[in-house]
Amino acid sequence: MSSPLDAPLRALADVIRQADAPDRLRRSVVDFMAASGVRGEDLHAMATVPPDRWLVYRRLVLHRFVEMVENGLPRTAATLGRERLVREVERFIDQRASQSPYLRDIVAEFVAWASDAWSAGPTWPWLIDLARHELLGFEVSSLADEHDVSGTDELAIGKPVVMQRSARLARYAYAVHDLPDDITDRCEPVREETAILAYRDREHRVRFLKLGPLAAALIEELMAGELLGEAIRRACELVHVELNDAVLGDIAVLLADLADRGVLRGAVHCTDP
Amino acid sequence: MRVRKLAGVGVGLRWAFLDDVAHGAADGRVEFFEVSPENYMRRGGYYPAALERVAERHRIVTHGLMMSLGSTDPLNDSYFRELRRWLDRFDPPWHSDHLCFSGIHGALLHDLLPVPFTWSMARHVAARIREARDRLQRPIAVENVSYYLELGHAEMSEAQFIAEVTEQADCLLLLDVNNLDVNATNHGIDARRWLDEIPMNRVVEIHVAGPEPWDQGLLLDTHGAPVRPSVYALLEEVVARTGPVPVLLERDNNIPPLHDLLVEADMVDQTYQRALRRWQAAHPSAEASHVVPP
Repeated sequence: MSSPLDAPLRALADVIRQADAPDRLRRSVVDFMAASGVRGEDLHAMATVPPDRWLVYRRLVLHRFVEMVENGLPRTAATLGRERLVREVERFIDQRASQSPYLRDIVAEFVAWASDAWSAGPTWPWLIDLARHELLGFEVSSLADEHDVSGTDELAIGKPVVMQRSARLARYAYAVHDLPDDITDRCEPVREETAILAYRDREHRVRFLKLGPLAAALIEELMAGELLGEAIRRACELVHVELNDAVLGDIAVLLADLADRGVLRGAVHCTDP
Repeated sequence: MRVRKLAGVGVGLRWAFLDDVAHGAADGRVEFFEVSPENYMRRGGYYPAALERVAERHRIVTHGLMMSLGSTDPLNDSYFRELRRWLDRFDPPWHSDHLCFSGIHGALLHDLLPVPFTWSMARHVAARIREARDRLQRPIAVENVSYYLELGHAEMSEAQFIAEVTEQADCLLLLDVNNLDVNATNHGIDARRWLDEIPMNRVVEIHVAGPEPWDQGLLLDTHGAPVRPSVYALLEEVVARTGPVPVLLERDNNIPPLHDLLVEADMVDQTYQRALRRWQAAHPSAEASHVVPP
């Protein structure tokens, strides 16, 4: 229920958000405003504004949201095509809009919405994986960083590790990371269980690393805060690999590589009792 | 709350030329850069790192986008906590945001939406400005926005609304003369009379920019074109009344190379200096440290 103070505000938000607003406004501005809770002198004044003038704000907001999604998810947007993208963003604004004061968060909010909205019979079954992968790069480029490396210890079996805070691991059903950089290339990804680690290098560039099953399971355990030794044991168990010297050697190489890339910062610092 | 002085012409810092500015391309060319905190808050990576380098070379003024002062939703606690932390880092002389709302009932629309010019809205916005000032522990300036329709039954003019809000909130005013020019063109407002009605003594900063023509004969406040002659004329009129306050050149769309933008900033400065000479002639005992001899 609107108060007299916020009824006009709500009406303008309804113009911008509601999917059927253009049609309803063109039928009757006064009915639209009344349905949004506008009364009295406000209703009289707002009914005199032509529909197209109301819709200026709808177009401005839609343009900003579409631009943000295109910027964050360029290949996803190109796959949908401009007309379909605009329709999807209109649906997103209608059903959810943004909950964040940070404009860039629209990209993650759109992907979260699409994960539900596109689940029923999407035209491209891999499209959500692609959107999630593009979002991964977009988010990792700007996530708040970086642990103070001076506060870490040497790696030890009995300690959890410190990872780069902006590093993220994602799993896809399609190898969307293999699609070419040229977004006009319409080739489709192959169906293949894929695990990708995204992180920022020392020049703030986003890097993607394809992981094997054991490496992915281990990094997930480490990111969850498990002790290094326990993480190794559980990862081997999860992917049905026998923990032997050869496997331990592979894990040592992996950890050294992650440290070299700046992803693995050391062990959590423990002060003496 | 004491307001520290700043004057001269600055430019809105945009990512298109952030790296150039961080490496000194604008050294000695502008008095300050203005940034929108929301683009840098709660963020890591390249852009905040580059901003740190800019702040080593230039004064930073902050101009927010999402305070949503007209909304009936409560002020966003986490946003204000983060904003205060961020402002404390860069310590601008004041923080500004817009006389508008950006969302309602939890849904944010990321635009500067108009509010009704009513007594109850003036009280409501003023109370939120006072609350924002208390939360941020910093002077707040509010900016007049471009609007494409009057929302609801207006009980006063926009200029009277601005005067009422700033008086009740005892806050500062960021006067966007481009927005005034856009509104004057779109709604047939007498801009000079509008200037007579606003509290000029509260103006701490001025914005200039260029709009673009749109459907329905509207001028749209896109910050996508050079400053119009009518805006230069209004700028001179305003600075001749306010004296030395900072003037910001904004450009958000069709952004030219930094060199071209700095040339335009020089043109803004020529108008600014001419206006300051008029102001000084009318205030011969006033401080003239920012006036360049003819």
